Amino acid sequence: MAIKIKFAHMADIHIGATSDPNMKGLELQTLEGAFNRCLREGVDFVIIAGDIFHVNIPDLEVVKGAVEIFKRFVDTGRKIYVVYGSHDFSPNTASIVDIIEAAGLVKRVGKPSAAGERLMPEVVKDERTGATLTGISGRRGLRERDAFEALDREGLSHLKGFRIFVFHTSLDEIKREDEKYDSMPLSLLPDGFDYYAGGHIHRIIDKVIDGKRVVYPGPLFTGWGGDLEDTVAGERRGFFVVEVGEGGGLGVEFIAMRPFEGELIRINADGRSASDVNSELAAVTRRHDLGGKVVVIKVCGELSSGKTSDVDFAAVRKGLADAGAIYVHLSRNQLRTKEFEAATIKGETNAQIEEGIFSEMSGAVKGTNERLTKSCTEVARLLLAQLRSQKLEGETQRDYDARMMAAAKTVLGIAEG
Amino acid sequence: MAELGSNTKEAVGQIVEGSNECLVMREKKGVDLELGDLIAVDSGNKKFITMVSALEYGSNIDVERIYRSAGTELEKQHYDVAFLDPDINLFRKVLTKILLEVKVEGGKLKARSPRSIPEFMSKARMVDEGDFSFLETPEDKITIGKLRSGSKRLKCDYCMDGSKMLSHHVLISAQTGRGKSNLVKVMLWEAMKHERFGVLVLDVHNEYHGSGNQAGLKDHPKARDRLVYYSKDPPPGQRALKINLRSIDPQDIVGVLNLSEAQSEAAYLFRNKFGRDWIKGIMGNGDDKVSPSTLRALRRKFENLFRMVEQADGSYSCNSDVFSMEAVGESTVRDMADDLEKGKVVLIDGSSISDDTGLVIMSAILEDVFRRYEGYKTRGELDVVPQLAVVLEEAPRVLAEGTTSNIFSRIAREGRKFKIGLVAITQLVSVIPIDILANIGTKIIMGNEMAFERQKLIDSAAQDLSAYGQIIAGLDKGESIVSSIFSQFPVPVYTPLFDEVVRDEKELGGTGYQERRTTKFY
Ligand SMILES: Nc1ncnc2c1ncn2[C@@H]1O[C@H](COP(=O)(O)OP(=O)(O)OP(=O)(O)O)[C@@H](O)[C@H]1O
Ligand SMILES: [Mg+2]
Ligand SMILES: [Mn+2]
Repeated sequence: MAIKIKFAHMADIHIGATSDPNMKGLELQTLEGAFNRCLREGVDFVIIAGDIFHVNIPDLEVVKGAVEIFKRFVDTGRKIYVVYGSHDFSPNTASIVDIIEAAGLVKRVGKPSAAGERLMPEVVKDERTGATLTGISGRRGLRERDAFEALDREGLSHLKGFRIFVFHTSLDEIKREDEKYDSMPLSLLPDGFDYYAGGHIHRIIDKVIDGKRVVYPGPLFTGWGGDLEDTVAGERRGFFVVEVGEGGGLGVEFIAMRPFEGELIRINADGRSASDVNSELAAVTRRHDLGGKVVVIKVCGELSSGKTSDVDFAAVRKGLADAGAIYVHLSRNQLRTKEFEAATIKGETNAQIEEGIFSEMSGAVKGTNERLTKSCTEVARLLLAQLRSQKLEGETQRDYDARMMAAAKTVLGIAEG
Repeated sequence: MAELGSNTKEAVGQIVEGSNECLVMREKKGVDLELGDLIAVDSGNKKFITMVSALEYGSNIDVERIYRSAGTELEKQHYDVAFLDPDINLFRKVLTKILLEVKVEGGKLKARSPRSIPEFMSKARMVDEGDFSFLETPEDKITIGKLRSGSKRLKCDYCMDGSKMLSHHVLISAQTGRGKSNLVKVMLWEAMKHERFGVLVLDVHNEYHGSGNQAGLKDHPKARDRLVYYSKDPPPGQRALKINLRSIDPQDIVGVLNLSEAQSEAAYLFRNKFGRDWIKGIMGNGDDKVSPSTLRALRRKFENLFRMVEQADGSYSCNSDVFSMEAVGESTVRDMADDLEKGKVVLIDGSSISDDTGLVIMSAILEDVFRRYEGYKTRGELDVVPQLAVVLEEAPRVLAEGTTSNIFSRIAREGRKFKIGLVAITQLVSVIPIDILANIGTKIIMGNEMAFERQKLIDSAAQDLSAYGQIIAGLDKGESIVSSIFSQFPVPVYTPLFDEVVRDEKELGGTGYQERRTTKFY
């Protein structure tokens, strides 16, 4: 077919997400590799559907690396179109995305074009191809849903040319059974676009649902956590290159990026002692095939004896580093123990005992909420104090529930709206 | 419709004979009582609330004289045939049934079933709202409508305790066009005011959600949080009805498609062998233990139900716009169950899907919530989860005698133990098995001219409705008799038009209506 437009669709690059020096290097290499590939493929423009950066103001060292790559690309006369993602947007301060946009490296599509109750997102025309782009930026906690609900659908229904809608939001209809995250219905995407360039879901999706071609490339590079586990377990990572024929036909090809060799090692700790598991871990460090690889060690099951903290992860990490592994990721959140690990705190008063328990358990708190990770014991203490409050005389169960809920939210710093 | 004023101290009649079964009153001239009118009889420190169940003529004059007089009038003879004091000697007799005995106890009105009769020759008057101040307003109230005396609306809401009512099942029965759907819409609107009722609705006529200017549940001030709507063609913001075939289990199909024994055995066999991909398995593979003819028959049924189309290479693809064999709609059933557990109304537009499709989907959801609620019961957590209910239109389809056992009949029989109730809507009660009918705690009986159906209702009601046959036949649109194990008498109710309910609440200015969030867009 005669190709009219050719573009690349990336998302969820999360530049700056890794702190490990080896992985940082790979992260930028992968980004560079992807943009080089785009030039080789002869794409007209690149779309990055949100979460270009892992935080709104990332480490400037990585920003510099990314800026160099973007600059080389746009200097060829091609554009990079983006929306904010849930990670690289902040309602309070500027985002790095704004800064690189001001520098002319990227163009953010879908800015509100006029104030009012309805949202008419700005529509951009790609000069090179005549393609029409607009979209809605992502926000944390699905707050962009308001924008979708306020969307001027009628206003968007008259667009001409090849129409691309860029967004950073999960959709109910494509959520898997085992996935539990915030998502919105497909029906909130405006009708009539030829390509819906999605971001936010970290896996590859390319589907036509109710006549809409909805595509998510997933992350380009996975340097951390569950995504890394999946990558090492064989999930492909990369981006899409889309060709639009003269007749409007679409050719959609996934370009896989393989920045590293990975090895997934599963250790079943079920019914075994901590020291038994430790010797299996030690055996892993003596393997000869892990040099130059990213190693994910997944320990799961229930220990028959010993605490989970008796499993010596530090030793295996060091041993593998010495053996030349690029990076070691330890996954132990499915590791349990039969032994009761709490309540071994000595103290004078109840308050001291509580405090002791809280500070011991605080290491187990995971998540991105800074208030919870940083001042965890304080939050726990306040929360406990609140939960002690009893039902008042004449207060209905419902009012009591509501009062407790509101107090808990305040303590946890989960404001509404 | 006339509003009954409160100046009802005037006598409308006086008790002249009768028994505890039936009080007979002489009607005051010109009052013109009607069947179903509620009449109060004050008697000593008690008050009796009665209902007009029959009207007859009476006179103090020889029957022959009366006939002769009518004859002369009709044949235009010129005798003077006037009776002496016709106002006194000719009258109507009003037969009433005592519904309640009310008395003041500890400064409050208390009502109970009648155990006595009023003083002889007591005067009777029309009831007013004050007569019903003994009715309590439950915390989880679901307003069914206005109390009614015959065709006159009282200024008094009739509310039921939603938890009790829904857990013990509800039957809504009427001939076509008498306002069943309107009533259901009003009840769902009420349920949405709480966060305690998870209600699953298969809306076969797509008449509950509303669209554009047409009012519906979408206009509820809490709709955003308490209503989810699934449709093949959803308006922006609502969900597409997409169900992955992995969510469907053999029992969802067996009970709806009436599979033969061999077919259902085969279905379960494939379920064991292929896990949740069993439908794919049936469409793709044979199995030694299943005869080819059984497999062929099953495939044919599935081809129809799931729009399976055979491809050139012999494999099947699913062309249904609801069901999917690919990775679409995998979380739909789970999400619906989650929303029910959060106390929302989950509304499925059943208007553009086949009956079978709708029922299979409902079954998949209900199996899921039933499993969850069984778990809560085992763990003793049932107290804290919302009451669930499923609204089933044309209920006989899955409840009738002779249908294979399915989740709907299971809910009807044992759902109460698990906090899952049934709201069955039907024109035909006669085909619903008597044990299921007897299990339904609340029956909302609307107009029905079919004597046979009426009799079934009367026979299975919580109260003695033997006097209500004619009254039920004459009920107008929106009028009903609510017979419930939770009420002390069969309550005559008028359910206003949904649009009126919405309008009235808007006028009252519920704060919910003004909520308009101003959001900044980026
Ligand atoms: N309370 C009411 N007051 C006045 N009109 C009503 C009332 N309830 C329903 N109607 C009118 O009667 C008609 C039929 O009502 P509805 O659809 O609720 O009946 P139905 O019993 O569900 O009928 P069907 O058997 O066809 O489903 C509608 O046009 C409606 O507007
Ligand atoms: Mg109806
Ligand atoms: Mn992301």
